[in-house]
Amino acid sequence: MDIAITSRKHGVPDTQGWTVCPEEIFLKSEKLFFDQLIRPIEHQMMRSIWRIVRDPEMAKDTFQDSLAKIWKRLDRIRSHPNPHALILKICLNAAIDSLRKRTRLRQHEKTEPLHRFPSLSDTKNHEALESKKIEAEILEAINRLPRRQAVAVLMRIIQEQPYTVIAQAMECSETTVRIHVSRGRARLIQWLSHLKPASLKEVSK
Amino acid sequence: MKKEDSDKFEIDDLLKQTLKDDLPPELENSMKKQLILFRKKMEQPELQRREEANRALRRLFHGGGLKWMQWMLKKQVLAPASIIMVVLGAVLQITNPSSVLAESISLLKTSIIVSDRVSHAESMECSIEMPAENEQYYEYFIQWLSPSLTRVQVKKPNQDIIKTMWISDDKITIADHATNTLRKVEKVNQIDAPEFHHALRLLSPLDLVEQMEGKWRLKQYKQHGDSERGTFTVAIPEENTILELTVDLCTFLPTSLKKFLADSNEESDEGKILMNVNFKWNKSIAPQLMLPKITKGSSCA
Repeated sequence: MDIAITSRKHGVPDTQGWTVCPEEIFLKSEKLFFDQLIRPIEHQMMRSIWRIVRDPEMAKDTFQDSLAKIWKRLDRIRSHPNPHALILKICLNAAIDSLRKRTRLRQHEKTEPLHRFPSLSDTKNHEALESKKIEAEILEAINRLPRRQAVAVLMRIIQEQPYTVIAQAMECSETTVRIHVSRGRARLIQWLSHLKPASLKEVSK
Repeated sequence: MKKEDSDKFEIDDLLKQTLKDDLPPELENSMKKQLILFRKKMEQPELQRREEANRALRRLFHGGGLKWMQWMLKKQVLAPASIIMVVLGAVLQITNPSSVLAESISLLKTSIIVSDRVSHAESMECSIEMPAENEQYYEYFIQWLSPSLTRVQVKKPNQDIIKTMWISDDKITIADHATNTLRKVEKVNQIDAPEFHHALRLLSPLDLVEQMEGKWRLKQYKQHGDSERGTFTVAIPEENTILELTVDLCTFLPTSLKKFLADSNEESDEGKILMNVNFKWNKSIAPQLMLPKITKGSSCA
């Protein structure tokens, strides 16, 4: 009978003949991964999800989804030229997924759930309601963008990342990122022109 | 400033102002807790796997899953669905009297509980017997107290213990009782003594769980009448063998494990049992047993 244990704990060779790390080394590398790659950007991760999802329960779920995705792609992240950017992109992607899921659910419901917006009776200030509506429209517009354009625009505008970093995270050229951002922005300007600034309105005409 | 540039800045400002960085402190704390948990799971991968399974189940009953259930409870859907289910039920009754679905759910549920209980065991003792058909077969007695405290004794059938191995903090000591010598190795894969090879699959409860979750293909689960025991039948395709894992349904911990060739069965072909393992769980083990020393002639418990 061949030894075919896939235990990392005792450093036993697996079926492919690889000698797997002893547990101690394995744990050290996992701790190192967390301390070097996640810890320095944990605030950015949380904030980039919140700024897009803007719903506490959904933000927690989205954050958990992002962590699960990071867990599945540990090897890819470790070997990536810019692991921090890739992790932030994973968070953005998860946030966009949540946004789309919420839109799909609302389409099933057909009506907007009342609890999403402050009710008129409760709202002393009309601006709160107005800003919620603007927020909803912006999120809806982001939702309508093709995924790569949405990711590029959000990484550029919300996360304020340089084009080179976005290109590394999206694994494409800097020119492609610039095109994505430019087209995404143009669409947002067109769709959101009614939301305020006069200059935007002129463009849409 | 060009018109396009001004538009660009305005849309950027609109996005930044509306999607502002105002993460509520209580949500931030909650997310930090998620991160702490994630770090723990990174150190214990089996926890992460379990969490993913739990999340998948939770999703069935929340959010999107809940909407689907609401949709399914509508009359227009419910009426045809109930007719289809009645027909399917009738077909199942005619073709197979046992409930296939109930059986598979029971199999899955019990296997998850067993896997969980085994991975949380505080100590494990197991004796492994191999039929003495030729000189290569041995009997083993494994005592596991923690990942850094394990003792394995090996003997030939009807003989004294010939070798003992202690694993502590990744330092492995092997005592040869025939020559009264002690030898140290760094890793389990450096153990060249063939006597220990069969025992290496069951050095700890996690080794058992890894095999249950990784290599074993669950085929069947059967509860023994009113008794408090259940037996899993498991196939290991790459070895062309079948395992029978009997579980105590009070503790959900395995009591025995038998291995057969895939083309034999227990009743008719007793001679083809390849391995017979008996487990004892969470019993107190004297710590001094875990200290490497040479003891000659003690019997295998």
